[in-house]
Amino acid sequence: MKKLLSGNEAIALGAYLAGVKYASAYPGTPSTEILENLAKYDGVRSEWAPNEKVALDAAAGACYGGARALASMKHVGLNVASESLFYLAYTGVNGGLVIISADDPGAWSSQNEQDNRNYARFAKVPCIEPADSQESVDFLSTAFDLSEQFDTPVIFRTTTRISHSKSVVNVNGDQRVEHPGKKFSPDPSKYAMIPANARRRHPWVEDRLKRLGEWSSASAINRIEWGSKKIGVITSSVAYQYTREIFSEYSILKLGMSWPLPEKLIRDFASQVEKLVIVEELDPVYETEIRALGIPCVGKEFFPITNEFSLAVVRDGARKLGVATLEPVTTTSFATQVPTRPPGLCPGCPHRSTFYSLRKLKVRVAGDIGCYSIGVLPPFNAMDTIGCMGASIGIAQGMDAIGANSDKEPWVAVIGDSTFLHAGMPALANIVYNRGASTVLILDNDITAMTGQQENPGTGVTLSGTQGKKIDIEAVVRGMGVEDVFVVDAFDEPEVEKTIKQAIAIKDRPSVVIARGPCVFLPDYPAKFIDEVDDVKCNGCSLCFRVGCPAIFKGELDASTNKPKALIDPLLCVGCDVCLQVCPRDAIFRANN
Amino acid sequence: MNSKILLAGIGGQGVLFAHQALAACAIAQGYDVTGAETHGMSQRGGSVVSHLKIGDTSAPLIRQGTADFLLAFDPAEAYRTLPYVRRGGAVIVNSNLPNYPDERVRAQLATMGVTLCVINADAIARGLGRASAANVALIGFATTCDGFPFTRDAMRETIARSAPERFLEVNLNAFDEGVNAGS
Repeated sequence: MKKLLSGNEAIALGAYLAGVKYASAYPGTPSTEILENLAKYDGVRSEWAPNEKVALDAAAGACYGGARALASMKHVGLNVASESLFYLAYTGVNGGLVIISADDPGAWSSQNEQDNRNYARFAKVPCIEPADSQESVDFLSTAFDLSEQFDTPVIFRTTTRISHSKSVVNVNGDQRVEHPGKKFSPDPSKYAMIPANARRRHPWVEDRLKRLGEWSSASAINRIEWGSKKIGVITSSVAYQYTREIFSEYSILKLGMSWPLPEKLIRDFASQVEKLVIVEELDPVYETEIRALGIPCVGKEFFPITNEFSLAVVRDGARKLGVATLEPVTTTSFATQVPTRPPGLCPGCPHRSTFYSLRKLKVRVAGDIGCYSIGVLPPFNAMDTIGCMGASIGIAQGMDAIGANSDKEPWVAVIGDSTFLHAGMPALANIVYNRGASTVLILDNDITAMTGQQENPGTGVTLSGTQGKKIDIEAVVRGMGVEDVFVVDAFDEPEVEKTIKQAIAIKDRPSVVIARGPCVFLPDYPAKFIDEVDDVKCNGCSLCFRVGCPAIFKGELDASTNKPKALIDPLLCVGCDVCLQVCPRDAIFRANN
Repeated sequence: MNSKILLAGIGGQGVLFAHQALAACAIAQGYDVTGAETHGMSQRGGSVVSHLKIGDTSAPLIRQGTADFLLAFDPAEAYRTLPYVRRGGAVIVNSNLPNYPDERVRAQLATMGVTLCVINADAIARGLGRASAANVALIGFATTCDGFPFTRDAMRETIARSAPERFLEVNLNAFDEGVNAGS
């Protein structure tokens, strides 16, 4: 039976068919849907973890215990989990262990581009890369077999374009392979990495890498598609799809295993083609290694190191290489100017009042990763730094420690509920322990919103939808020793503003403000009225435009001020009332829905 | 059959549903399909572009200047994605604007031999009491355009299979009115 599956849906299916018993992840674009889909299958325990490192350690435990296990994350998630990856490279596995790394070339929804094939090289573990949804299913079984055969964790790398593209998969009934599970047999020399064991283990890791390379040279996971031998291209992942279309008449070595490289296969291929070309997205991983083998090739001088590939990019490089059959790329520009649609906080977003207040209070803001990163954009312009998950609180402590957190220009940290539980807690402990005096704003919208409303420990609901135990953020903060904790209704703008003011005035000890209000996409979002503008009272003062709501737009000019009056789109407005609260002329009112 | 269709609209207009319906119709007829949805960080109200390739299924994305059809659910998003359309291709747009598209664009498309079909699918959907059914009205309309890869009957059957039960009737009505508007 043929099914149209996204790469992520295919990975979930592949994991199920491979007999995975335990899977753990922290949501992160473009990886999120893998666990969401895996959770639908029986016989797999799928969990959201508070962060990627915890997810990988839990998967490691399940694999040590003998089950096939999987951890899934976005590329920067593997940074968080990298310490675990490195000890796992030494301990190896018992049941198979696969780590999904979904990279984001083009940084569609990430703070940086990074090529996680580098992690495979760095940690000396194998990396497998599918090029479409069918391979996402098939290669996952191979990855688990390989993991068990070579006693190693396996990185399974996708990119946004693989994870989120849909292609046809042949599904032939339920072929899940049940693995009975191998019992854990105590062996500290394998599982307990004290220095003496680690030193003994390292030569074994190096030898494993050699054996993996030999396996790869003989494996069908890499394949040669012979064409004209004037040019031979080595490629993988989605770059293979572009290559197949652009270099259609030439020879292609398509790598399914991108680390360690199949040296023998590459030498054979290179010796039979006149010119060797490497087409790889992001870093020159193959190119560097192939050059080091003494094999002449070209790559990054034609195919860029930055940004996502596309047919146009690969075609452009191929033309520069002299693939003469290609006509120049022509794009037609049209006589139209269309403004972009920058991301904005949704109508009804509980974060709106906080950013309106922060801008008004003119404080400096150390921001974090989540929907609220949008606070950096106009009209709020209320975020000065954004780094990675949990960074806001550390940045605030550093500013405070050197005296930059002053009465004149106070610094606050802004972090979401899920991000606080992910990496914010140790940073808050740092402030409390070292007697810092920062103000931390926790925007608690009761969900991991940016990746599409996933549950987290703060919501208390598990990935499978059962009731877990809810972690009380307020109690956590108090338990850490913060004495000044303010909880405020996020939809009450004047109260939010007053509370932030009150908290930043405390200059000799840390303070925390928890602004609580559900994400507008949650079923328990308080359905209110629709807000409307009184055309007579509104004089175009433009204050309500500063709440940055997509439902508010500019209408006709006011006769006295000559400024546009406000209008509210009844289809978009959900009646959060923030604009109503900031209007100084009471020109916005609740209309019956 | 080889056909490249680019779908463009705004988050919330049902671009993804349209993509899935067209893909399902192609698969039901035995064709291979590939495609991808692209969007930035935006949630509601952001630009959404969805690539659908039928028959030829190598790269998931359509290169600019090669799309056979542009199916645009919003007039501004149509402008933004026009460079994807090939010479001799077709642009099918939902627009509630007067004098759309702009004269200069109309002239440019004519030079390129691009067929232009504009329909007010929003008005059809609103008339049926469900504004969000405009996407299905546009699909119905598209089946009447020359060279569109799916017949009216095959497409209608797919919509009937894929629409949620409680909106089935309104969706089929929207489809039929889209077809009528094109006939």
